[in-house]
Amino acid sequence: MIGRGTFALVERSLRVETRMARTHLVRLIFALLILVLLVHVQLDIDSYSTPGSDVFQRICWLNFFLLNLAGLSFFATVITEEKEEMTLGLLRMAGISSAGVLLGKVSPRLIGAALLLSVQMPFTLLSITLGGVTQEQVIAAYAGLLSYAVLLAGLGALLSTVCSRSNVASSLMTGLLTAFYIGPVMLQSLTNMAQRRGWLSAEFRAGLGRFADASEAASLWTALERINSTSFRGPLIGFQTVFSTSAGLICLLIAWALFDVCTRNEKPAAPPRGLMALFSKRLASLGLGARVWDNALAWKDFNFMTGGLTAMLIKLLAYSVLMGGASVAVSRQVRTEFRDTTGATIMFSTLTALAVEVPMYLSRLFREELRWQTWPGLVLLPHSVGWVAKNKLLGTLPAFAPSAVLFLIGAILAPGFLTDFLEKTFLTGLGWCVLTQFVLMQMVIVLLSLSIKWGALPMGIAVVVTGNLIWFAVSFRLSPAVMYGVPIAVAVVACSLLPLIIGRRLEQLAEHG
Amino acid sequence: MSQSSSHPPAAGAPVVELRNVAHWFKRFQALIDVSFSVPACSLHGFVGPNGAGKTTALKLICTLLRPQQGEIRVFGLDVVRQYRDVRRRLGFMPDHFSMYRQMTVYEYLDFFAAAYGLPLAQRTKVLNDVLELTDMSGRREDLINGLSRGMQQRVGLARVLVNDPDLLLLDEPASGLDPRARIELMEILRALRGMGKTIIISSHILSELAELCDSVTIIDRGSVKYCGSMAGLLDHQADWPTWRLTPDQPLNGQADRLAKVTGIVMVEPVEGSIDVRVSFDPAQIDTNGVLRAAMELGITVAGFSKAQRHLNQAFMDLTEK
Repeated sequence: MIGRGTFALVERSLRVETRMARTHLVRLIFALLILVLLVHVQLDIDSYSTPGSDVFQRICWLNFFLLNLAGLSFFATVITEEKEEMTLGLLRMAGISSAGVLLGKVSPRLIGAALLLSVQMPFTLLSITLGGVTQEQVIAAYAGLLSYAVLLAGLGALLSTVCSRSNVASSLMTGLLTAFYIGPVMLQSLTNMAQRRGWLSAEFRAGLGRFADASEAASLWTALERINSTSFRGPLIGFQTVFSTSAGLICLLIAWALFDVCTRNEKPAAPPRGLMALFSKRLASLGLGARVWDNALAWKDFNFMTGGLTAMLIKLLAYSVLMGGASVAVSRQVRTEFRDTTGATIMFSTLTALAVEVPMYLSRLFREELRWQTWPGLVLLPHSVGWVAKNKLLGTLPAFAPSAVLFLIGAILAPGFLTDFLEKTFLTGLGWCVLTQFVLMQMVIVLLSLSIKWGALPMGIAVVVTGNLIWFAVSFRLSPAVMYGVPIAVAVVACSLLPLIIGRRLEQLAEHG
Repeated sequence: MSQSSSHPPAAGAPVVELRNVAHWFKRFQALIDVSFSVPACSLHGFVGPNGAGKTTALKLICTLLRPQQGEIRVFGLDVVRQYRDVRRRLGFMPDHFSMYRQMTVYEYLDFFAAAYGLPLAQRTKVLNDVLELTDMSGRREDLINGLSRGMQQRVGLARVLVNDPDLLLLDEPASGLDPRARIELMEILRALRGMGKTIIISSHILSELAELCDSVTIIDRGSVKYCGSMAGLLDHQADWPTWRLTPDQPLNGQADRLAKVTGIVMVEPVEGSIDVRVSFDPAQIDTNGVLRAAMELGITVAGFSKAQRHLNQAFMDLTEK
């Protein structure tokens, strides 16, 4: 079942990873970040009652954040990237079994994640000497984090075995992780609401409650909160650790069982038609096929990257339902007027949705052209690269219309919240800092998408977030003007230079395309 | 398809001119002092072995790459400073399929027509024309991804025609096509030449272009080895004039004795026949002298004509040195 070929795969992956500067850079940045956290606490030790605990908690949440990012890209594409490169058949011909391919692909990534966690250990142990955290807490936290990596690796292997494309597997992973963390909370709210109205029987309600409790207990979030509390007394291997490890292994087993069925017919990789496939052929047969807009590039990206009008309508409907539900749930928790609560909830939710959507589309804007080798064809149009990029960007804008429409509705419902939001954004240093760093993050994501095949989105987020964390850790004693002014200035300068660098890179890619 | 309205070049006037062009990829020099020109309304073959620099030269002409040394003019326009005007007047079909395969044939062509700035009313007519020319009218609503390689190649050709360019650059358009698709492609190219288009077609197989092209440039290891007419290539002799002698019966020792005649450089048999190829130094002996010497050696001459090398032989001679 597992032969020499499996080890050859593992060895090759590890060798490639080891030779890549990126691997060591990520580890170095991570170790540096922890060092900065330690220095920051040491410098301001008087203001902490338990400095070690403070450092440790920050490290834990940083790991939680990065592991989730890795889950969406690093783990979710483990088999799909072989499918897209059409190399699975070659691995099979080399006599490597399904289990061999799975283990050969998954284990190097898991080892990579484990190495990233292990690199922090010496620094983390230092937090024990700073006080406020015990050795048991450190061990329990790392056991939880490692088991969560196993869960992500197993789930990633399963999703990438079932899905034919990396972006579908990543989207499914995003949906499942969101449901995993938000699901129990929503289920609790719904159960409580149903209980008050007498819709559910006592047994069913109790069953749902138990399920929600178990789901919550299985999440790393809850486990880290428990471990980081001062009352933590063990066990070192908690429910979350056992659940994550078991679930990860079960996912791997299911992936192995489905592997042959899902990878039997290797189809040549081709860009998907997406939601355009739903209606366009029928409309065309009726002679009603929509023509390409005069702005052809915008038409293409609107229809084939963002999903077109169909996706816009689906998104509008889904957002309306979700935000309506969230407004009802929030209004029951707070004592403000329903209209204000609804407006504020809608505005907050749409901004969150935009913060997710914008980098998602930007990371794919040029990557898809490069992936399908269509970029040189666009560069050869009688226009500059900047013109092409601008019009491609225009094509993505309609995709934000549902969020924009809902934001406007929220603003009409709660004008006070809007004024407050605008004041906090445009009249404070922090607001400008967040805004400029967000723009910088988008540009970094675009630049990274031109250089690395996958993972530009999490990498871009990680680079900007890490940079900011380091800066705020060392600048906390400075005046707000300097603390916020420096990142704003850096972002403004970088945002002026990055378009030029991106433009040059796009030209180079066309030359070699 | 209509003729291009933007100053169509006069037949025979140079459309593409490369002067002392050199290009490097890091330390590797892909093109070394390349100079050649292509006349208007001609079908020009651009031939060389794999890695000879054909694609690099085509990318320089189509403005995807900037020449690091030398000058390139297309329709008299500088490819660096006037790249947008150059792009408007040419169509480049690369050697690999780089298509939006999720689109239908019609969407794909409509997309490029719109991207070139054609108004909607004109797009409909142009698209119908190019679909008819490439015989793809019946497949207009098919997804490109579902088409065969030959069909995709036709769509690729239709795409470069939507802006009605005067110059077409086709990089290995026949590679990977079956014989039927290859013949059909060549017919389309002939039709395009008939419409006054200038076509540069690259290939690593000279014989593939022999019947199609008016002129040819042979490139090897970044240097131009030959540039001229196809007929000239066949006559082109690297060293000595060579004639083909046809005896009425096989030569025995006479061939060796003929080779020893003063002025005759080489006598070699022609494979698959009793003929011999006689190369001579024109400073010492002329054609009549060779014929006379043969007859004096007792050879009954049934035929004596200027030897034309086989295309592949010419290609090999030029590229292996």
